[in-house]
Amino acid sequence: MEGIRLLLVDDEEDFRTTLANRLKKRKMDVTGAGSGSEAIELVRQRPFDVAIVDVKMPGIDGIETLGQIKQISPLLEVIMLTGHASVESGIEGMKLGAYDYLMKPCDFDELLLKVGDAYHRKLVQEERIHQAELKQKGGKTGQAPEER
Amino acid sequence: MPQVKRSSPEYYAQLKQHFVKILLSAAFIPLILIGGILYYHFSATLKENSLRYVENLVRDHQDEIDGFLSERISNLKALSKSHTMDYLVQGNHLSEVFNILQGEYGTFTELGVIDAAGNHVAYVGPYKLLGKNYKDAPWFKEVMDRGEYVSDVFLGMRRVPHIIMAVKRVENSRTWILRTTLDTAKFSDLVESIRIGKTVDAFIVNTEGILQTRPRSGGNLLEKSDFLPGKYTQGIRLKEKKDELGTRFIYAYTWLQNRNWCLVVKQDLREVYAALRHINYVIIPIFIGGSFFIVFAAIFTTRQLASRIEKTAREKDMLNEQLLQSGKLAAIGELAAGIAHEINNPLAIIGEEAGWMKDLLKKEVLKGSPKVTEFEDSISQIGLQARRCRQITHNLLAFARKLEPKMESFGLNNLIEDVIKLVEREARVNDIIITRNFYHELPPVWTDASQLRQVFLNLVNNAMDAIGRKGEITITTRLGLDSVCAEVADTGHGIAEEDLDKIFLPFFTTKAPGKGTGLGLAISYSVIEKLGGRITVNSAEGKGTTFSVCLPLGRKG
Repeated sequence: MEGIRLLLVDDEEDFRTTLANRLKKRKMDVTGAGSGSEAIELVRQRPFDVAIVDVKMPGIDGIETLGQIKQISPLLEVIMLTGHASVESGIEGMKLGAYDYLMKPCDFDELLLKVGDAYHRKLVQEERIHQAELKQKGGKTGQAPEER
Repeated sequence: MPQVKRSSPEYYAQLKQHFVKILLSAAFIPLILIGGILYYHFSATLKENSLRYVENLVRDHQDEIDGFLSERISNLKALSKSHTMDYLVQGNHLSEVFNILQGEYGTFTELGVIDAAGNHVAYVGPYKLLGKNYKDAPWFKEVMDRGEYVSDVFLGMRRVPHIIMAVKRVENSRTWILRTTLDTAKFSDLVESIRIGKTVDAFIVNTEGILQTRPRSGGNLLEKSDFLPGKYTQGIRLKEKKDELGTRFIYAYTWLQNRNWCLVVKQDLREVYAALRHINYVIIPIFIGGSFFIVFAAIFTTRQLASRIEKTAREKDMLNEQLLQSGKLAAIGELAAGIAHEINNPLAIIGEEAGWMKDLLKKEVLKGSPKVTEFEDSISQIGLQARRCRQITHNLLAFARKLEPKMESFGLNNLIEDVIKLVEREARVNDIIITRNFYHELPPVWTDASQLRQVFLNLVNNAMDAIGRKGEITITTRLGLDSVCAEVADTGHGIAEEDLDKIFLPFFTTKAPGKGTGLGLAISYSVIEKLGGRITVNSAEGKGTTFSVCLPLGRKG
């Protein structure tokens, strides 16, 4: 858990800061963003492991933010926070590539659990990509003598 | 009727009365008119015929009586011409002549010869009149002036009704008179033979209305009749008169040749109208029976009609009620979801803040402080209550979700057909034709059938309200690029342009207060929206309105 680079996107500042404090206390590297556009900008600037995105936000909403973040950084895992009545937006988010969704107000422990899982998945993905890259490299060097 | 609400019992009572009145007047006015006209013509014809009949009777008998009298005069004249006074006065000659006269006709009672001085010089008959002097008798003067004379019936010296007939003879330088009297009984018989029908009566009166023959209906010879013919006129006259008992009679009368006597034929009008009365005996019961039947049928059919209308109205009211109810429910759901959602955010913050405080308490600095456990308890309590609130809002949201569409695959044509079945009867009552213009290869849509049904029911009901009476509703279904569409077009009064952008707003209505909730279209709009479709309107004031509903094709979930 320590050192997870977490992006917290929510338009409610009180909620954002308190949750950030709690997460920071668990040794996470938390960055807050008050809107979808701010979050997208941050993702462009530096890498993150996990993002927590509120679905309902003024301006660019959570679903769109998710799409753009995933475009910029496909490996970044996103957890949707739906304050919304329906689970539909959560499901829709998952279809668009979100790791999971949580209904607001959520249980903190549950959130921690999901963040951990998401981070783990990201690590696994990264590892697989790394392995694949290695294979590709090895393959290339293996093929080289034949060319000669 | 305008002040009474459509659903109240008074409205139906008035409606019934109205129906009954119309039905009864439609049945009775022509009936009474036709009956009256026929009755009038029939009785007029009957009377006319009867008048012609008595008129003819009078004409025939006038000739006969005139003939009778003139024949007697002629006989007398011939007799006076064929014999001299001297001859007749002598011996039995007069008696012989009288016998011949009597033998042939039998209507004379006596025969006498009177000289110019008025002396009865010869006489044959039952009375002792020989030697009597008539110098001062009115008839004597008359016959000397005019040459012949027929008297009225009178009693004279003998106290027996008789008629005097006399002719003057001028024989060289001598003037004498041949005089006879007629048997009134025989004369009366002749007149009385005019008896056809029970109430036809014939008699003769003189200018003063004195009866010259005995009428069968009462009254005696030489009495005054209740009929006064007035002055002499030519031809046959008709008169209608009541007697003292109030019975109406027709009189046909004509003057006889001697201008002193008037032949009268009288008929009781009751007999004339007897045929009419007979018909009345048949017609009146039929009329009364028929009237009862009409009244009964009018009331019966009206009752049935009214109850049917009432039933339809009740069904419609119920449907409206249901629609309103589901609208209210949807509104409550919306409200609940809204509140829950709004509360969720602050609730999340409270939870997080409590969590943060808990985190802080774990710091080394605060450990060992005696109040720490109390703080911890208190914070746990905050977290617990926040979680409890969260449970409540989540339940509320779950309830609101129940009101959300239940999607299933359904054919739009079938669905609309269901709706048409619901309203068809009422449409027929109001003379509204519903035309189906369906595209039959329509693929099924993924939708909430029961809500969609309500939408179309709203649209069709609105269309019927817009038309009122007599018109057409055309329902068209068609296949778009990625949607199926249905159009409900009516020939009603249309929507004013300034209202067109307000019609989907809740509580906007142009219907009379209490008739429309103003929710129908608003609910329809939100339903279609939720189902991912579109509802649009197109209207020309005075020409009609078309609502289009388009629903996306393909499964969505």
